[in-house]
Amino acid sequence: MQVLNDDFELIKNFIDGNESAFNRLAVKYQEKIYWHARRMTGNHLDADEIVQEVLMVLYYKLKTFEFKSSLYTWIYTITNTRSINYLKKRSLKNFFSLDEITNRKSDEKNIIDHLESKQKLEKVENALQKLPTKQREVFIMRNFDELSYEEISRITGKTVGALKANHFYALNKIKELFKNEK
Amino acid sequence: MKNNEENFFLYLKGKMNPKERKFFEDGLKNSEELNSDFEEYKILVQSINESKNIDLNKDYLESIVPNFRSRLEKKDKKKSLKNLKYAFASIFIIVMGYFLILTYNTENKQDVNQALADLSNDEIDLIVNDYNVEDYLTAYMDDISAQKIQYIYAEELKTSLAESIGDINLNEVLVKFNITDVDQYLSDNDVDLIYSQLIEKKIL
Repeated sequence: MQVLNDDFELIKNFIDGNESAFNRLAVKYQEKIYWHARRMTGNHLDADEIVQEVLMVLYYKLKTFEFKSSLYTWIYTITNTRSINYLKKRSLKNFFSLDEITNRKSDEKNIIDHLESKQKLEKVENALQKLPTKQREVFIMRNFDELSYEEISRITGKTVGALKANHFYALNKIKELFKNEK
Repeated sequence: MKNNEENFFLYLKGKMNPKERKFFEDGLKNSEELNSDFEEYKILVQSINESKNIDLNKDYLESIVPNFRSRLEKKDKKKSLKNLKYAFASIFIIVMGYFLILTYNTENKQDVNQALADLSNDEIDLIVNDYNVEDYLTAYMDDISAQKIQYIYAEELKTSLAESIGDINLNEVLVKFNITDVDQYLSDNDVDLIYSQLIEKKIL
């Protein structure tokens, strides 16, 4: 409830013209936005671009937010939609130029300090990128964000049954990939 | 393979009540397959948890909002520039259109006036004489229009005669002379001129 009040106050202050209120909201949610985008797209550059796009959407659309859901759910939905759009655009670009994928990986800045952490992240990212988008989406929401199927259904607009089926296949594939890596 | 993921998930997140937890743990003890699946699941969850706890570089995190603000500023500038471009383009089109129309009309008038100024009075008379207005007009108009012009011509002639005759009773003159017969006392050129003046005044 406290979180809701804080978000409400920040939004209200922003609508009243306080730009720093928006900055505080951005700082509060930027990591969550980044990590979801990163897991969906598999690289830093795309994730960074999505973060900026989501912040831009929030900046212009926050005035229309009606508090029917929590702010985090709303932001999460926007991030998810943007990530999926980005993946669609990327697959079109990749169709015309195969260099795109390798270039994006090698251009990555050192945004993760520890080598061990980088390796762990890479292992999971590689496995996630081998999943189809629909399976990846539900797998990330279920296992990384620990959302219930009902919450995932509200965000994605898909039925709980379809989500469970997608997750089942995703889980089996990921387990298989982890086994093979050993 | 059965979908035990739901139970694995709830058990590891501590979301089972005591009764459910006991039932699940008993199931693990009694089934090797379930136990094996659960162990695989735990390894996967461990990898996921390790990747969840990675910290991003502090400099990068601090750069996100300033980067956003800079993009916002560029976007606002682009928007104002675009609006300005549209405004200038519209003004340019309106001004050019105005000048084009003005020039076109001015040129036409100037052309005609220039052409007439270049001609002498004799040359203008020649053109008028060669151009038989009455015959030309009557060839291209219907009977009703011709009668109308004839009537107006007669009325105008009557007025002109009244002005020039002065005190003399116009009616006596009109009775004595059929007004339309006045034509025979005028030259063809005079008749044509009168017709064209009538048309200019009354018809056009």
